[in-house]
Amino acid sequence: MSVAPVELEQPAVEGLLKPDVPWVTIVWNDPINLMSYVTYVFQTYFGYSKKKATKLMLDVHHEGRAVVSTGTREEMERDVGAMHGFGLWATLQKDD
Amino acid sequence: MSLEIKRERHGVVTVALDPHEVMVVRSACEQLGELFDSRDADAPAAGSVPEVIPGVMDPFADSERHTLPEDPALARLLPDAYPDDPEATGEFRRYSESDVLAFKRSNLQTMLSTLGDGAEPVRLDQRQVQSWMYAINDLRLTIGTRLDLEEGYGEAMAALPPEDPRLPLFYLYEWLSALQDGLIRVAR
Repeated sequence: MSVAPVELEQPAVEGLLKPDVPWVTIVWNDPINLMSYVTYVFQTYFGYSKKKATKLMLDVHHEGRAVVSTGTREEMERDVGAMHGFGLWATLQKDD
Repeated sequence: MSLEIKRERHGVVTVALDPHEVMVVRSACEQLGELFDSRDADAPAAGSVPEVIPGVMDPFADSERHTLPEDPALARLLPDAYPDDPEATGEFRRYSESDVLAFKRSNLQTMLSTLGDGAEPVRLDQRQVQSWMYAINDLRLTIGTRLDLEEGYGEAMAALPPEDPRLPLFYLYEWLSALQDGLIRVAR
């Protein structure tokens, strides 16, 4: 005699096969940080070119916020911690 | 107050400060250090929370330390990481906040130990230039928060009467801004 196979729960299987939703680090505009400083941080920490760093800084300045990096939740927590160390106002969230 | 920042060979940077400027900056740095130390005081005192199970600390006793600081300047230096998730933010603070503070403390300590007395220009290598930049930024954030600076604050400050008590602090803030900008220009 054999035992009928256990029914696998659909949601559990789906969870295993779906790729991780990427997370993003967002830097928010604030009235205190110098534009030159924000650009410097983006260049030195992320390794962005001066052109890209300046563009991101201007996005923060004009739009109020900008996505500065994407990756796993752990990676974004690391980036947010670094941003806080430098004095930038940063948060992380799921990319949607 | 003059501000001479020069880049010399091998990435060395000299910063000429007079004794008065050194005194003011040193005092501001020491106060920033005290602000950092005050975060340690946010942790609840041992024994102040009743034990739920004898011998076992209340698991929520830590929670005061892992929320947004009440001091607005400290809150600006240690903002919430998750905009809509207090629990995730609390966990983030539990594991990351001490690293953030350690970084800030290290930069502050570098600045304090290289400030000199104003008798001759300060000589900084590139790593020290960065530390000054980051420490000065924390000073500006703290002073800016205390002054409640908002977008377009230049006009608001220019409109203050000359005897307004906020002005000396704002002049220091502006002077630090110029110093920081000067260091960014000579940084590699």
